Amino acid sequence: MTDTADVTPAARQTARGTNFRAELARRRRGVWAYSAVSAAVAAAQTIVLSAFVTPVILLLAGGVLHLCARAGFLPSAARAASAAIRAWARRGFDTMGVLSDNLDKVHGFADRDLILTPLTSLAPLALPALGAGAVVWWALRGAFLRSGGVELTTRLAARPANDADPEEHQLSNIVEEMAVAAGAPTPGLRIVDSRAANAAAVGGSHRTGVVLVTRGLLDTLNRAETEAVVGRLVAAIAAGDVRVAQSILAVLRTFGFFLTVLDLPMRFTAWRTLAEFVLAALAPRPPARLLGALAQGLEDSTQADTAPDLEKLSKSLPQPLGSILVFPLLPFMLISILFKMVLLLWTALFLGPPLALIWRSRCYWTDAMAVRLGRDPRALASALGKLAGSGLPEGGEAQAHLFLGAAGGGVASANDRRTIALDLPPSIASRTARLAAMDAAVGEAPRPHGLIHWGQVLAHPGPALLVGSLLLLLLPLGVILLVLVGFLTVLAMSMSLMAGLAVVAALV
Amino acid sequence: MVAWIALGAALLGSAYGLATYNRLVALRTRASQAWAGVDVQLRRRQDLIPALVEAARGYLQHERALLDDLAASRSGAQAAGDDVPARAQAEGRLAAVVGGVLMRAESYPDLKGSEPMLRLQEDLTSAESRIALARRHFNDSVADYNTAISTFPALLVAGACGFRPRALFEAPDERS
Repeated sequence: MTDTADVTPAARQTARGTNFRAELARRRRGVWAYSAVSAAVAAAQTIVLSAFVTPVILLLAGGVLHLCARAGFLPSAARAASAAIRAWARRGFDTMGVLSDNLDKVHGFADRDLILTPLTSLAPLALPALGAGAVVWWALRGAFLRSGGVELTTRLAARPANDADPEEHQLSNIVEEMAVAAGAPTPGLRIVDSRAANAAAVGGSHRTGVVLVTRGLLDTLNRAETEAVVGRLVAAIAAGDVRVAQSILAVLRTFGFFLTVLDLPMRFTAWRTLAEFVLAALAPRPPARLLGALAQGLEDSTQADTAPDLEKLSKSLPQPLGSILVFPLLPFMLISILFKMVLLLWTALFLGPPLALIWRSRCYWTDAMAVRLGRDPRALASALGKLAGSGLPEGGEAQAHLFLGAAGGGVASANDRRTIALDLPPSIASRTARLAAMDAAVGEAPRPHGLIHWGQVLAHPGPALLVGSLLLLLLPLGVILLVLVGFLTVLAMSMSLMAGLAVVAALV
Repeated sequence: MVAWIALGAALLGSAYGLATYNRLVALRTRASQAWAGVDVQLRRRQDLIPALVEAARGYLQHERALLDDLAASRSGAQAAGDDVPARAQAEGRLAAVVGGVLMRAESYPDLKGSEPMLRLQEDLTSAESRIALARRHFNDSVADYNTAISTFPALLVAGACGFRPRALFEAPDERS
């Protein structure tokens, strides 16, 4: 009997033809789902911030309503609305009180309603923050997409290819070839004068995509490898990966935005970043310089060692005066540090994984597509191997996941602002493994790998038992970590929620 | 009752006819677009020929016939227009002559190593591979279209509305 199971997929492939254009268009149409997941993640990361975002939004709304009432614009409705806000805040404050009283009465699982009932009635307090997270994500994504999503090229000081240089002339030929192969519009080409060998696909859509290649890459790779790399980037642009990348970047920047807001009392540059955000969100076509400064500001705020201007201020003034000026800001500082810690843990533990999942699935698919375009999995694998160790061009760290040679799980400390971006792409090793598998059957999509290879487990029962017991040991450690993070979150949230609601009830 | 069934069948039939007609038009348009893509790439190779003649003239004094052949096959390719088999023939000849010139150039080290010649060689190689890729896309699109108009029952719609099968772009140099 002939093995029909192996023949059928390949036959179907030929029957469907190598119509990359249609396949890439299909892939592009699916991008909205990835954007929706990104928006959900961006909103979800603000749950921990709801404790201070909600009071701030309520305060702002109350202020606007008071102004309306003063100005004589629907005064009765404005007064009624602000009274409703005040009542809502007071109810929330009372519920918090009930909750903390009930904590003492709980003596077991049977008393869970004592905790759960007030918690459910507090849940609507998270809604304004969720909305704010989604709106900020949407505004950031829109601002960067409207200008073509190529702010990275200006930040890296990328230049057009020099046609007199043989290597760069060849490169622009290769870009055109690959675009013809994919049946896609020819993307722009920009050269970065950096010794690091790397390349990235940036842009807002498949029409405005730009291929970024460093000079180091041209000097390192041969023509076949360059072809494979460029084919990979062109496929990424044509498949709409650049749009997904923009959605993911907007999530990281939303994270940076809320950290910036937390920094407002202590850092003057935070105010500047906020102003840049407002300008960029409102401008119909924000200039690249503004977007570059905004992106830089948002990235800086996620760096743990951003020196607070507060300290500088207190040192520059004559001593007793400086300390006195700083004193009222100390509670803000404490709250901000606590929230930053919570937000960092929360993001790394719960929000990084879904982003990594969607980005990696895109990466593997596009790798497979690139192989079908170039028909040489070995060239792509060896190119990836050469790019792996060579690092990123200066200034591209916060968008590491856009670069082809950004190894997942790169060396990064917990304070490193690159942590999340670096963890997004799949590791070079797993990509080359998939490419090697494709080498045997060029053109076939990679098979999904299961979490556990049962055949392997049954073949080596001893080591499998050892690994299994070690994993069982890890489980309680993970649970303890989760509980600690949860405890810290609840502590920070309830403290600031109490304070915030009290202020709202008093002022509005 | 019978009238209703007949009416339903007629409605279904015309809906199918419309859908099929639209699908066939889409396929035909895609094939035409793919041909435009091939045409652009072929023209770009033709545009490289004067530069090749210019670069080679000083060295290949004794190969007048070869250079004349180059110019003749270029104008032949330009004259072939949108008639696919004739164009494929003419372009295949042009490719063969260009290959011959490049091979002759191998025996003149000064010419082979000269900067404009290296550049031309790169451009010609790239043009060649772009043509191959565009041709692949064209042939796939035409094959899809031809299959669609020659299978039952779309065949009936195609016959009634004048959809004719299109010729593939078959490069003669690939068969040899």
